[in-house]
Amino acid sequence: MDAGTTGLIVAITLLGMLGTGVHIGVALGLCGVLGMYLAIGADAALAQLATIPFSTTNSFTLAVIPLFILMGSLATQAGLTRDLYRAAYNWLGRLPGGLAMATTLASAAFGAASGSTVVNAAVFTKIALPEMTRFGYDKRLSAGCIAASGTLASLIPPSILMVIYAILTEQSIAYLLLAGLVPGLLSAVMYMTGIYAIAKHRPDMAPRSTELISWGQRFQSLSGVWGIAVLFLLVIGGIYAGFFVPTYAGAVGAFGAFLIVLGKRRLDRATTLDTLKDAGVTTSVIFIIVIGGIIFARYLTYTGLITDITDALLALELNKYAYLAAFALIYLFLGMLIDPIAIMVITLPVMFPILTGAGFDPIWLGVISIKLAEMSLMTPPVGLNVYVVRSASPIPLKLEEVFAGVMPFLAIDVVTLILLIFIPEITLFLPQLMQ
Amino acid sequence: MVVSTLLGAADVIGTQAFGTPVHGALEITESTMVVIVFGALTYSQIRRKHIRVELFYTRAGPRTQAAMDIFANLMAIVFFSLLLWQAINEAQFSLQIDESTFGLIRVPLWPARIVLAAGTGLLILQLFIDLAIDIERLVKGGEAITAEDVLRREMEGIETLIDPDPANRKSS
Repeated sequence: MDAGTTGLIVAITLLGMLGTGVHIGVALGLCGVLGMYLAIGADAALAQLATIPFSTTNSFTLAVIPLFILMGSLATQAGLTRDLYRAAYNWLGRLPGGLAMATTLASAAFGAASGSTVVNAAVFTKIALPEMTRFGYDKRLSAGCIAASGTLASLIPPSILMVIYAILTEQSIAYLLLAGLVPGLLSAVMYMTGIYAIAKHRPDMAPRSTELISWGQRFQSLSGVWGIAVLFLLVIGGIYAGFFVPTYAGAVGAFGAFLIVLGKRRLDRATTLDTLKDAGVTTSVIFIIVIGGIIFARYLTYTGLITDITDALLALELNKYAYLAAFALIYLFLGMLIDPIAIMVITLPVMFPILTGAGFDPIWLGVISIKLAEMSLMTPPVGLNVYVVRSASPIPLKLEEVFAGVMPFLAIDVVTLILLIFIPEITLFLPQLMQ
Repeated sequence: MVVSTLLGAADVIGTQAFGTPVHGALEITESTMVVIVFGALTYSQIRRKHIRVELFYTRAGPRTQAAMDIFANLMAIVFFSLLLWQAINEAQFSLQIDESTFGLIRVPLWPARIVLAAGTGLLILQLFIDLAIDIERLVKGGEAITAEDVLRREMEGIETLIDPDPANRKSS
């Protein structure tokens, strides 16, 4: 059978499987094997199954994923979020929209220990939402702010998504982790500016706090957060200075987070056991998708389908931003169906060669992909972060309220995205400094 | 057995985190990864944590959902059975040639390969158990799983981390 026909059969099978709810890793893996079998033969197909699962897991580079997951879980267990929120509040609380700005800042800071958007959103819903409600903040603003700020965790290193992008596109994990830092901070500053503007314009939505906080209290509240600051500097500074590779940075980070848990006397057997189990489960779930994705990508590459598609699309000689716009639309659309990891695994084997072929920088593209994937977590009908906030909320919230609340933040993100697209230096200067 | 595998994996991550440049640490980390991923695999299936497209699933009725689950399980059984078959071949070959890493300390590779096959085997067993449960659901009908339920399952674990005291957790 020729490559085109098998490609069509495989594509239809894949869509059918995904639609009927087959696990994404299994669907990709099976379709990859099927395609290889039809196009090349049974031996080639089985050979992939023999090598890829082992080579993907038996990998020192990829060990960074469980270690980063563990670091984030331990940081959560250490109760760092409460300390961060307290500190951010003490410093920003008096400004218009201060509580919401504090939420964004604390969420960004927590992103420096955790790489999971969902965890960030869930944790801050529990901590910051009751506070903001107590001060008379508009529910939509508070909920939207939390759902949006949660996405900062994926840009600010350590970020699991960044690592997965690096693996799928065979780019440097270290460069990608560093590249996310400034765009992540920029997104946070943009959110905070937006909150300030909203609070100035509509003081009824965000009443100013009258609580007096002394400078002594401010500095005292920093004592709870120096641990995470040191940890972040150690992990990211270590990667930047080339002291260690990302996997060891992950190990250092996880161990440091463990020390913080110890230091805060939050170490209890049952919780720590749960933390470890969860890290194991999350790792295995991610790896099955990655294994399936790599098998599928192999099929696309070996049968020459990728080259054909890339050549055909690049032959159109469109403006390179037209390719990027198509990519953005596909991401936002897929974001309605599946989570960011799966989006990247499915789209990158095809999109990456096309976009780099059109002249975009691979590292920069990683940051743009992740920003897009994170934005898709906020768009209706199934923005995951919106659901998470609603579901974790101690106060009754309607889904529509949260969606209404994230709208201004999505608008801000569009501006940030445009800045990132047209000024690539924002993303690239840090990794370039490292080189 | 699953739990003990997990504990083993957890224990090794713990010691790995001490990250001193020991000879062979790199190779051991690699093998550890296999243990974590394929050790936790069955446990993820027990908790039904695998990621899939939920859009149609959560809008379907209970019987359709059961049918979708059965199909998903069958597909998973096919995939992982093929994988197991290859994994057993690889493990046998690895044992025969006493495969190990190159370097100062030669760490044998066959244990990781056996773990991979064993983990996959366990997963397949669990998939058959789930298949039986799903067939029962198909016959008997029952409550549909909503998007809310799926999310609640996703959030398990996160809640424990934020508030280790179970008494507080239930109230929200």
